[in-house]
Amino acid sequence: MLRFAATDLRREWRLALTQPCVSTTFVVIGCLTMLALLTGWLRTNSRIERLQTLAGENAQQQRFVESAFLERPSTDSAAAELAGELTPAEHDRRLSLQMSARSPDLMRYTEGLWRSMLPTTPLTGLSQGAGGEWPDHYYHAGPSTTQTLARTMRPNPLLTTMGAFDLTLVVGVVLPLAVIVLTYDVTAADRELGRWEFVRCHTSSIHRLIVARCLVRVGASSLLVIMLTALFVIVLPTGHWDSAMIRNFLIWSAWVSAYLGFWAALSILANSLKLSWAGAGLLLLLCWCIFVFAIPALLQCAVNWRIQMPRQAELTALEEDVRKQVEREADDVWADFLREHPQIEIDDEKPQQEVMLRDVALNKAARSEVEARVETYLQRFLHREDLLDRSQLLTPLLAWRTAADQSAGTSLRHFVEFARQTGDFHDEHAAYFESKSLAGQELSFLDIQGIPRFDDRQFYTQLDLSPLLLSAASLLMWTSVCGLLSWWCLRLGTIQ
Amino acid sequence: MPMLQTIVRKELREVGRDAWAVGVMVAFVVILALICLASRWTWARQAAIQVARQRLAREVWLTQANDSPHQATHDGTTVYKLPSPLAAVDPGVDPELGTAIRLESHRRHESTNSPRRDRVKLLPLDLTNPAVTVQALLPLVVILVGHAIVAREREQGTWSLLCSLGVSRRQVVIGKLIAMLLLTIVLSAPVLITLSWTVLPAAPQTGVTTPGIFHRAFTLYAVNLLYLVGWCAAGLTLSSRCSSAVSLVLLISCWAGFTLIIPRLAVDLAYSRFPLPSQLSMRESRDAAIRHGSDGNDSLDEFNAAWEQKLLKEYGVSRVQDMPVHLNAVRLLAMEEFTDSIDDRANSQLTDIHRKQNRFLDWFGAFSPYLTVRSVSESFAGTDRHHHAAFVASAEQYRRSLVKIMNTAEVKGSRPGSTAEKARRFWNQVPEFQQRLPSPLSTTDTIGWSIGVLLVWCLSMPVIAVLSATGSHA
Repeated sequence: MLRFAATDLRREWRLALTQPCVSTTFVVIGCLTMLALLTGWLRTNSRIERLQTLAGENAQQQRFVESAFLERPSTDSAAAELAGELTPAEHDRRLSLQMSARSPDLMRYTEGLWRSMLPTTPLTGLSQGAGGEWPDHYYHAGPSTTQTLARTMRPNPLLTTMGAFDLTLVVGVVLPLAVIVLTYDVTAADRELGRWEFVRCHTSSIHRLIVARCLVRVGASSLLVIMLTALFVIVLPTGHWDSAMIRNFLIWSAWVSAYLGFWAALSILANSLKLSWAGAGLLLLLCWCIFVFAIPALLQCAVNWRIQMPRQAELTALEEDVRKQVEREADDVWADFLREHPQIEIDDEKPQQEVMLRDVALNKAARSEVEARVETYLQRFLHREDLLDRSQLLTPLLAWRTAADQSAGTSLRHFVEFARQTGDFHDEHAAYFESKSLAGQELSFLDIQGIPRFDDRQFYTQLDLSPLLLSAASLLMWTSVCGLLSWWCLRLGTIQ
Repeated sequence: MPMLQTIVRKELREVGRDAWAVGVMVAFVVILALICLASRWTWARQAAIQVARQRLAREVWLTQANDSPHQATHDGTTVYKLPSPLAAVDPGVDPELGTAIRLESHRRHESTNSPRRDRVKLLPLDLTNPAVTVQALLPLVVILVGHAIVAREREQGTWSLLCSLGVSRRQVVIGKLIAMLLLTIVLSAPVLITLSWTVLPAAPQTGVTTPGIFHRAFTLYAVNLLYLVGWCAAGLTLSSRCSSAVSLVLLISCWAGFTLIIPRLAVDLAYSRFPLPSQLSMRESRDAAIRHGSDGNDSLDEFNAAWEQKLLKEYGVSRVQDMPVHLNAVRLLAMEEFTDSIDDRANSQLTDIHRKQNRFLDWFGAFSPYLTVRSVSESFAGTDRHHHAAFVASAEQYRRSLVKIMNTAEVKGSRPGSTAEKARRFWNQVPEFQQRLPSPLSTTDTIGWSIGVLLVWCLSMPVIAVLSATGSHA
């Protein structure tokens, strides 16, 4: 059986290569893949440059704060900075940080101490995902969590309207068209040119012939895309390769094959019906329009109608509300705070101490409430994603898109998780200085070196299983339906 | 001429007999009509919301409880962008851009509140936009209906029969082209109806002053038709040179390249090559420019010192205390000029990046008529970035005049008065914000190239179609 299959495939491959249309389509697929990879690489490289600048700024802020404790510059770069390589703005910033560095209360209110960054991976360039609308870094905006989480990137309206040119588009939208071009006339052309009887004499099963012809063409296309992508991301990596990345790439490759497998199954079905080449072509085009335009359009309208996304201004407003509310309940908050910290003794002769501690208490209370509301705000985005995940069963395009974004690490879930982690880190950072304020001590050099740092390692491995499983289920379901229908059509003998 | 009419009638009859073609066309017209209705409804709703918001903002300004005119400029007001009347047919990039601008002294805010921000986008093309549906999907319908318009005659053997009736090939091709064009007009009828509905005087006005609205509407539709003429002719050309199968494959490939691939590639590369600075980085640069000066310009302190010296010289006194005016009040006017000049410099940098991006996209337009028709269509609909920039500029002009009027009142020591009526009259010194679309002629320098490319596309394709049919040996 296997030997026959291999023989069929080999024969059909040789036959396909003799057709100029097939080889031209392969060249076009190759060119489009390379173009998509190249644009993704350019995008990711500019992001890497941006993140490197931000990492440099993070290091510079740390050096500025540390310089308050140093008699002399400890490193060459610090010496160079102090020797006058700083811009006037940086010089001001250094002076301001040196003045606040010993006071935890001032440090709590100092902004710009850190920037959180979403690292790139070797697969980032494969899919733009939510990258055009969500930031890859956040800037510490002092005590305000919501200001820190504000999306200050400037929108590129045309890019948002048209979308990026990435492999998700090429594989999801353009490759199915190529598959249609490659497979719409695998039997009809022979029939219409009067070669069908001859072809039938040389094959044991018509079904096997159609399957072999479609699989050879679609398989070669998918192999071409995967091989080119693998070569590209290995030769021009945009991040560190590790086992998680290899796993993600394997998932991506598997989904490319599965998605194109669905289109192959659809082509087999179209070729199993007794249609002319034009009929088969038009049927496949109609299916393409339905899966690529009609269903996503209806789904998009339904989701946007049903779920109203929170506006950016809501995020800022929620913190203002919470702060006003906490101000109104200031006495209760202060009493709770004293109950929580029985070790605190208020010295009546130091009214400043009480003012500082009340401020810590109010900030702490406000922060925990803001944290809960920010979580609710972010959850609204995830609820929409959950709805979209369930909708993957409606069209294989959505299933492919979900899997591509997941494996490239550019899905909305990744960006929301990054925002959430940044919010958590913001609280951790503020709590660090609050604990020092409570202890009533000045900051030392060791305290400054112990300031928490944002850990971005978790984003390398993040992969949400439930959307992936639903995506796999969707592709499997659609491919099986098409496969079964074509088998049924052949059993009925629609093609002779 | 009668022969031409006969050919056109015959072609239309033949299309009418093809159940597949009729089905596809009816489905398209129904879908387009629904999209037009939805778009018109969204536009009317958005216009009503914006008008209401603008009225409320004006009322808040007129009834404010401020005692100081300068404090009023700090509290500021908000202006709302009213959608262009033709946005019902082509919303363009407007929904992605902001619809409100906060106005206050010393600071130029960016537009916020984009209606489409964070909305889910699953489609490779924005099919909620009627113009995109006509420009992207209608060519696909034209291809499906017309890819075999000549090839079928050849394959069925009726081409020779047709020629033997004494009809020249040129006449046949022109007749087929006219028939295709008529079909295209029928298919795009919902857009024409929506346009008429929008520009009719009885339609609800959004409050935006639109010079030459009829010309704009007419040109918008004409541009779309010209673009479609190119597609009809392209279908005819390939159909007369290749078999219907090859013609279909080539036309679909061209369509995918022009509509899906090249525009996205161009936009992606343009934004990668000329990235826009973030709002945060611009704010940091602004603060640095105020504190320390930038590009050889003075810092605020240096500016203040120079300005004081100039003022002392002007009034011929040696100490600021001896000046006959209230120094702090006059300083407000000067400081405003200083911050305005910084904002203008930052804005010109942004405009420069936008210009580079647009020029880059224009070059790509030579390879994709879809990109050029989008650019021209958005421009005539008043929904492109150029029109948004005009709105932002008019809002900024209004902000400056508002701040100037209030600061001058502060210098003169004018106050709103004790009664509500007096206060209202006082705040009413600031005129109401009027939004006006720039004249269509002002946009020609930004879309001149695109119009040229589009004209080349729609004029050359029919010529090629006629020539290729005349030269073919069917």
